[in-house]
Amino acid sequence: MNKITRKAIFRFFLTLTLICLFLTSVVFSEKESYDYSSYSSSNSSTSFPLIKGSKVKNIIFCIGDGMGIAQVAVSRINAVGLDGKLYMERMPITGIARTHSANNLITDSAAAGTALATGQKTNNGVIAMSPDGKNKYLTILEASKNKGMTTGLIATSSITDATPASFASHVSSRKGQDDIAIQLLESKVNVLLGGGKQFFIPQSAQGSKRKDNRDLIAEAKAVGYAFVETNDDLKSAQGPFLLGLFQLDALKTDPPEPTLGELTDKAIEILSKNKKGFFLMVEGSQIDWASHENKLDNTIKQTILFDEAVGKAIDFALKDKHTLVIVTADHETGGLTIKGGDLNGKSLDVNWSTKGHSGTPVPLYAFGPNAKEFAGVYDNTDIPKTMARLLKIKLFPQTLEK
Amino acid sequence: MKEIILYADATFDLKVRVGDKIEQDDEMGISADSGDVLLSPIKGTIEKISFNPEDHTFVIRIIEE
Repeated sequence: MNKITRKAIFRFFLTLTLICLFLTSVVFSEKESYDYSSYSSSNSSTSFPLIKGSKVKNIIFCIGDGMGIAQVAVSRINAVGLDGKLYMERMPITGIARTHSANNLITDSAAAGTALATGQKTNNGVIAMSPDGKNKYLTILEASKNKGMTTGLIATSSITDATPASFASHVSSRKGQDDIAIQLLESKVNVLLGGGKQFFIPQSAQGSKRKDNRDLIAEAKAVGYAFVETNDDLKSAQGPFLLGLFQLDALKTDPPEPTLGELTDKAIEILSKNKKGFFLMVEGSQIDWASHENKLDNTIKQTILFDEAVGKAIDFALKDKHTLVIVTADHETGGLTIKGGDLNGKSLDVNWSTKGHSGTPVPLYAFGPNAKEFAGVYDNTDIPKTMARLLKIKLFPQTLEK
Repeated sequence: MKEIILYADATFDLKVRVGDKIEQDDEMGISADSGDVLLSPIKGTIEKISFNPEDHTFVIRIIEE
């Protein structure tokens, strides 16, 4: 082989290698990136103001399932830059919450949801009941409803999953999702939005996970709920009762589904018509799932989708002046730490220390009247107790007879 | 070749990772059903671990050696 031929072969393979590297980078960036352009352009790094001199009439409680401080940090760096801030980070008051359950340093979402909903500890797996499963715990949603407030639950999981279930049902095992579906409707929560249609349709219907032939969607309609399952239907839906189930199981968190932010907007639109105020819980359920899989890209995507919903809550609260917005997590998942990376956030080197949950305390952010009550280090059970005090709800926490 | 599927509670970390060689009675994690320590019933290799969000469990597939 002469010199010229060797040179030509070398150039050919060099060009081929460069093309391959270019294509790989394009494919990688398309697969791994989430479009934050509209999100980042609507956000800034300015802190929201303290709201002084007004009383709490409404509460929007945003729970990032599995969202530790590192999940927040990687999402910030990736979406709005090292010096930017997520909506939740612009809230003027911050705190830290401990998360252990009654029987374990590492909580699950059932026990943590119960703590955040009722102000009382229970065992892992138990929903809004005592550890022995014998007594019900009153939830902050139920206490708000007793006071004449409207109520709502939103999740990107099934609406019967542990966190939303903890606010309006009482079962000794989180596995009883068909029973939870019944209880959510019996509780007459005004707005229920999320996935989990499989627990609301009779077992004879395709895809059902019910163990009976009750058609809970028909039952809901009979007692005054509007039912929607598409984004278009959601836009035109009216209250005062709305059931929206957009998938058989969990939401896909991709179009054409409504985003968590759009669900939050709709819930606020319906619930805020009540002059006596409202209580709304919004869960970014799938931060936990992405962190269980130790998938950084999806962890960031789910955290940003959650933060968009926080932004919608704050938009309303800024205008209303009587709405307290609280953001926290039920626990951290994955034991995520940032080991390194470049300053522009294009590459992050992270470590996941577990596939499960961790016992690391979680962040707490507050905005609105009396937000300063949430500054400091607290047990997760203190959060609903403070909410109840600010809403002037007496006898909370409260254990009820079975 | 025998294949075994086990279900672990995803609240807690797993003691095994994909590709691990395990002996019978090696600790895997916490059982999703009983809440007790989950032991491998066979000697084999961890072929796959997936997270099932609906049940909040890890599904562990072991291939017997």
